[in-house]
Amino acid sequence: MKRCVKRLTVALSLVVLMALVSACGGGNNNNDAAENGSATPAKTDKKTYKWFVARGVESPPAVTVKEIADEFSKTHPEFELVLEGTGDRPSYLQKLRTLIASNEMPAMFDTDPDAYASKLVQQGKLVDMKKLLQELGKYEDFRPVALQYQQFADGTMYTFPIEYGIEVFWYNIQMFKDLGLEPPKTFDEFIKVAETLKQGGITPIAVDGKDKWPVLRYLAYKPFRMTGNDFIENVKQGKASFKDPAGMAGINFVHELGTKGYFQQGFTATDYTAARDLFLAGKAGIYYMGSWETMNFANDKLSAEMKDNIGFFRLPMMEGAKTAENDYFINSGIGVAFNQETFDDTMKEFVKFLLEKYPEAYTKKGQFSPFKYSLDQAEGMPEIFYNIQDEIAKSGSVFAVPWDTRLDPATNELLGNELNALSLGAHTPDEFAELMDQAIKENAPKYFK
Amino acid sequence: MDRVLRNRKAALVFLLPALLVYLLTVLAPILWSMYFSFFSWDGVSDMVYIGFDNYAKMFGGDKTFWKAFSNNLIFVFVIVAMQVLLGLLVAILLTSITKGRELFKTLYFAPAIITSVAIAQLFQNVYSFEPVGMLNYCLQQIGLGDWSRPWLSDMKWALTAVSVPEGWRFIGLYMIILYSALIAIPSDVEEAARIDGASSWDLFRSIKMPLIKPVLMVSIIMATTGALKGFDIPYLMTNGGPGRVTELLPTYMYKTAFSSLDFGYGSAMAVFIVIESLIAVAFIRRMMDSKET
Repeated sequence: MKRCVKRLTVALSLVVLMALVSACGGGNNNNDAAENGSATPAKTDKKTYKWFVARGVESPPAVTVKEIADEFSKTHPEFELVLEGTGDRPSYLQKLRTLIASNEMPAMFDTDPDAYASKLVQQGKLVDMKKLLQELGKYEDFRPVALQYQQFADGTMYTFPIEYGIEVFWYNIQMFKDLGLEPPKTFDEFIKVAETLKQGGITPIAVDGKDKWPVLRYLAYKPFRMTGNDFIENVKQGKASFKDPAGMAGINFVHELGTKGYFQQGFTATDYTAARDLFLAGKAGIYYMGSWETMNFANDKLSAEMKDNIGFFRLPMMEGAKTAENDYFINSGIGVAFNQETFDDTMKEFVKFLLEKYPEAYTKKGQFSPFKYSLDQAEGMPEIFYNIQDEIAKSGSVFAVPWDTRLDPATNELLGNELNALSLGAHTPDEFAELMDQAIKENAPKYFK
Repeated sequence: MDRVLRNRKAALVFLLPALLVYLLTVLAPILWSMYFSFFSWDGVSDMVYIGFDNYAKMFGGDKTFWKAFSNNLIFVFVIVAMQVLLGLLVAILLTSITKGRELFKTLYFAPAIITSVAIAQLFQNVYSFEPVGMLNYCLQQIGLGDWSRPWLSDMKWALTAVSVPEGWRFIGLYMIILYSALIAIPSDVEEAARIDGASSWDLFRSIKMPLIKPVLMVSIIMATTGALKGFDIPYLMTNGGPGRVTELLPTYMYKTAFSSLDFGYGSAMAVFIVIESLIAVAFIRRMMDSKET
């Protein structure tokens, strides 16, 4: 009996161990199958390509690409595109970087031409997009600015754009009228407008402080007017200082807006949609955002009192500005990069197919495309859509680059945090400048050689 | 069955799978982190061995690290106070009522099963200033309008504001644990004390407290280690901001490794958190033991 029990114990524990081992093994097998796609003897060798998306899989660009990919799969049954992603940028970047660090770079993913992407290029991990677009004869189909935005500072390009937008200050026409205000043309007027709105009991500016980049734009306005993009391109490598006139102008501007209460109270905890809703609910006078929001400002999306009540004005000017009135933040969004390792003929076919179908499909969704493609009045889009379309046609050729696509990751992380503290008055402008110079001195050498 | 249980070898064999899982999921990552902490690595380029430089930076010049450390201590204090003290108070009150006891227990326990994301969202709305949230609205209604403020954007209050939801959500859990300990006290001991003329406070201090002490200790250890690794709610509500006022060691570690792409330095911080938690547990045990003598 005793022996019997002993055997039983051993047998049972073996079963448990087996189950454990096979469970682990099973997991691995599945992964392999998914990666190779050829392990299962199906009718066709289906290959699954993953696109890790930074815009939310429901966003218009992602939906358009997915529709086109499904259409492509009909004629190429071996191809399948799977989308995965999140619209929350910080967590997207963290996931992407973790995937890449563990050698699981997706076949397609979104990235800005930032310092991190340039490291990937150095390691030979990305497909040269300039070469590819020229080879496919599609390079000339894009708006020049859209492609320039995707380039690294040295002119090379490893991503292509699927969005296009200008950034403007949207404002509440009625509020401005009630207080006898005109859209400001200079930064001095801008401050005066903010002050008048505040005196009138209105929150002057709605801003998304949680995502950091919208506040970072405010820091970049004056340096862009004073030096073009020279300041950021130099300062990121420590060749300029935040204590330079351009840097201090930007810092003082944010400090003034923040400490005088021109941003909504509690803006550091306000997220993207909450800030937009504040403006759309008629509770704030001004809201800075890109033209990708245009369709949300069209009449059919608005409450009765906001209909025909939204106008926009350009980035203000200042004395001695080096950039023209129609130069401002223009961008073609975060670009799409391709993994060199998984880039085969099928994928190339798909890119060609995508570039042919995309401009029309995307624009019909009420979006502005990075291609030289526009809709005429007969298409029946909302009035505000055509207004922005006209403004895009008038925009200049020098465009401001977002700072977060230029700085190294560590400085970027610090800047985002401390900028909010600056605008709450926790740092003086001088302290802040010193802090940033220190951070760049420490971090930049690892990324810019 | 009885015989299987009495066989010590068999018991060991059955414990083995759990041990393996534990080693793989807990010990291995800690060892990996220790290994990484001696390198400078951004996840793309080659790893560079730098010896103890990461630790030198941590203990030497990194102000943010120490800021996060002191924030973490305040965070732990608020949370342990809320969870264990309030949990104990509610548990004692529960033992003194009979009607509706189950209802209260269920209601107080409910927050513990809500996910962090929902709690973060909930409290973001409670604290909101523009549009006006529940807390500020209540303050204005009772004539304390001067006190209303954007809690999560306030340099002085943000840390407390993110600590409270984390503390609040698990009050119910500690209430249940301590309540079970309290009702397990034999009623004859209590009756004997009452006959001897002990007041409620005497009863609690001299009879109940010593008897539930082991459970209380476990609760404090759980609450402390839970708070030391606090991450999700502060990360979701303020992401460490404004500035660094709500930065905790785990959020700072996470950001350093995955946003600033300094995996080596992030790993060094992870090692620090492990050691810090072990010290905290040892410290609490010491304190509890010394009281006994």
